[in-house]
Amino acid sequence: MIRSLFHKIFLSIALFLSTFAVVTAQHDEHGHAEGEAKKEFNVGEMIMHHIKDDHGWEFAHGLTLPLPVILYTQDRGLEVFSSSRFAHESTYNGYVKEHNHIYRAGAGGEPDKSVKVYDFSITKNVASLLLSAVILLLVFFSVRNGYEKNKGKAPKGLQSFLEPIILFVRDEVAKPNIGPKYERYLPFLLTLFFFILVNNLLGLLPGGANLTGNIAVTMTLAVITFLIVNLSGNKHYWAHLFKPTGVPVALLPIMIPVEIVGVFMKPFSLMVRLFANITAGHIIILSLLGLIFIANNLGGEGMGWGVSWLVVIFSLFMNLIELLVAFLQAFIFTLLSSMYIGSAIEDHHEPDHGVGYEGPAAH
Amino acid sequence: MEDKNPKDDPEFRNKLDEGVRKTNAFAQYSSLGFQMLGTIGLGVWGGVKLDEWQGNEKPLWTIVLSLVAIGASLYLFIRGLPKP
Repeated sequence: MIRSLFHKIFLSIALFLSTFAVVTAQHDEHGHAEGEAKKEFNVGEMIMHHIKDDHGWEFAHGLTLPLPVILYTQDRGLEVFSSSRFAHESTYNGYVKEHNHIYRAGAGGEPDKSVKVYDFSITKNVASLLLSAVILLLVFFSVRNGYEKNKGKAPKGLQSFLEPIILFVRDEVAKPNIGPKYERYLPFLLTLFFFILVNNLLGLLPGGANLTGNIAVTMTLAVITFLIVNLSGNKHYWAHLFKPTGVPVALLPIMIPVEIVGVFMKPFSLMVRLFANITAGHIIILSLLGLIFIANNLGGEGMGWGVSWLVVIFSLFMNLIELLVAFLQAFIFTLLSSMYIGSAIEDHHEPDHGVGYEGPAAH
Repeated sequence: MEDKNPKDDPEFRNKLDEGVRKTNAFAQYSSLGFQMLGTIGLGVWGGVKLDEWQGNEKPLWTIVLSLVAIGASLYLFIRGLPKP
């Protein structure tokens, strides 16, 4: 139901925007005739600026937290300076910033792409990652201390808030899908769940970084899952990959590559789903907010105000959906990771082709 | 008062298991689409690269590998369906 609603909303937004696209195009011609009175507002640029990584953390227009830029080049070694050096002009100390990438400046100040610049900067996403690590450590050390203090007694405070979630991951995610050896993988699954959850929620805050909507971050998470699945795979798992039963020998040259591709596609789907869901949510909210500015550009201030109440309602609704998605995506990533681990370590070899699905009642 | 865990009630347990089963199936379906997409994408990309590398005039590898990848994606899709 939510999905069809989602589709309807998305469709209506898309239609709404596409009508404006035509109007803007016409407006452009007029604009040139009148001489450019005001600066053109570009929705796409605004959205990309918000969902992409950046040197320096911009909370609001004019309120930017400068972050360290750390560069390494072969000839000049390690260099560290503040990202605020790039705030007013794009060149500093022989470096040029262009489209969020830092290059060595050429003779005329243009980027010289032949010099390899290794950029280890603490960017907005890295800062957000460190912040989330601090939050997670503080929260879970407090939970740990709670168990020490309230030993044998009812949980208190943060501990009582998180205990049901931890037990949910253990009892409904890890146990049914991994089986009797679930305890080994529980630390990983819990870390995964709370890391994704906290970063999804941080990304929803105004001015927050879009960490889980960065494909490199989701790729790292998926690669960790991939390594754990394949390093703990037992002989049934590998036999299934390279010696599938009931397959004619003539078909093996095709089947083995297909199976291997399938192994890589599982973490790939984990990576793309988290990235796509979070990024899509951000884009929808940002394009809704962009409608106010488009209306303002088209029909003047009155139209901007007229549209804004509708936009506020829609974006409020989208924010609620995003809140749901934040939990859902953390849960699904954890659930699928545990299913993949479970299918790699299950003892009995059933002809279920390694899907490893067993009803929770099986255990 | 009797201290009873609702999870020990068989009826409640069955309902819970049913819910968990449905959620798991939903999670699996949601990843199948991306898996198909990835498989076909990999096949086409590999075909294009091979054609570039061999300098073929007719993109034979692209055609063959994309068709093979579609077949493979269907195979992996059917295999990945949750068991009833």
